[in-house]
Amino acid sequence: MNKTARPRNPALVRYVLVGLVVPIVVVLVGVALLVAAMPALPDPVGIHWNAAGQVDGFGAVWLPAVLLAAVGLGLPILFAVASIPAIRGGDFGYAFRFLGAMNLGTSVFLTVLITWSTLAQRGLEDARDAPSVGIALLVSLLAAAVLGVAGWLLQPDQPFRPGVADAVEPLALAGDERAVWLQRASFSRGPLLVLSGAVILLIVLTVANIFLRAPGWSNVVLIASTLLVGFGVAASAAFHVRVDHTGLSITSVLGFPRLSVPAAQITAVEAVEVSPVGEFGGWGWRFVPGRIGIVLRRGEGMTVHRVGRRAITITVDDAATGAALLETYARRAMGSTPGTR
Amino acid sequence: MQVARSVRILSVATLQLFELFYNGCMFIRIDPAREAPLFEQIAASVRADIVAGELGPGDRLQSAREVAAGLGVNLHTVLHAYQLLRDEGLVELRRGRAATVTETARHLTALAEDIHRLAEKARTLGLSADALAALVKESLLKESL
Repeated sequence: MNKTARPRNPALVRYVLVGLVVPIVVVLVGVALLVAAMPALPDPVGIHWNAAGQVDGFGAVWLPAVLLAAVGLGLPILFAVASIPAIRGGDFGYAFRFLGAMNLGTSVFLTVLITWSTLAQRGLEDARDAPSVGIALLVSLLAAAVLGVAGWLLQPDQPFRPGVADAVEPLALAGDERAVWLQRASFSRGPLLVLSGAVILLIVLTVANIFLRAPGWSNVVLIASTLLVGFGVAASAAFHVRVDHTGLSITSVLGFPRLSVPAAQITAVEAVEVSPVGEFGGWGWRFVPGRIGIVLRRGEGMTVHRVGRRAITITVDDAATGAALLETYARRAMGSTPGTR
Repeated sequence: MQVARSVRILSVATLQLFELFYNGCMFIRIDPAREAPLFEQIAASVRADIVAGELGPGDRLQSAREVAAGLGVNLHTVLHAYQLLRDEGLVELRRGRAATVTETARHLTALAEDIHRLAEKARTLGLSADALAALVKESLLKESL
């Protein structure tokens, strides 16, 4: 039986239950409690505590509810949107199981923390009289841990086991014939849009922060973060892949970073089917034991084994042709094909 | 909300800016031993890519330097190939920018099926590639008279 066949439905059902449905229910309960308590809360209500346990940040009475709804609902939905299509497409493994459990844990943590610390201010005239947030923090962490573990256990055990990769037949190149294979590999439109949206949001936040005359250090942090994330996204979003007589070269559209494998260093080339989360735990530049992955989507790709260094896997269209050509040049470089050098 | 809309518009704009830097896919094969000059073989490869749909209208061709380095040929050979494609109306060459596939190239993809069928028929009839090419060229020139 092919181990990389689509997972049985129960796995997806449990994942959706643990990682989406239950978190949403928990958050909605918390929001309901907060909304119901609004008349009894001091205005403004305490929303931030300092290390000494005293309230040092205040907000409108409806802020905790809105915050919990936005983040508490937003996070599970975001992760679900990103991962459910992948699971439907046949990707699976421990990483998904963990994601579902983590979603549940995060939502529980946020709900208990915000609800507890806000409801503790019921009946008070001044938010500064609010009790320390310490107990709320402790309880929320505990609840998150317990429910996170439960979420993990509730999901079936379906570790990813890679199928057998096919070694490629070299492309038939007559004596003097030469060829070059140039491809592009990138995230598909959807994820790219989300990523650029995130970067733009960060830019907007940074600019807004500067305009609101926030303390200098916060501006520095925000600018640095925006630049880092922006660069990270740009450097891993799209690549030019090239196979020619010198070997394989993968260059980010930005120009840097680049990865090149000289033909002489190649020991084997395989055409593979890549399962991003199952094999590499995600998308982008991936580092797992014995492998570097440039994983931009699920589907066909090629794996190149090198002398003395980690193998490289990249998801790219028309991988069969590129792999075959690379195999040809690798063999030529090794001198194993007589009469071509 | 206005913010959400602006973010969405900006994201799409960034995406399109991004695609400006993105070169199209090409597989180019040349054989110095064959009679046809190298630049013609390169142009033929690009034409095949267009017909196969690997390169579409608006796609940027890889820089001539990249292709020349990849094939181990002179830069001018590749430039000659690009110029040939420009003369055929398949590619647009602008100063300081990469060669871009034109809208006309779209028609080539439409012809792909017909070309395959024609080639199949010629093959079964035992007609050589050059003979077929000459016949097609004659027929095209005759129509335009």
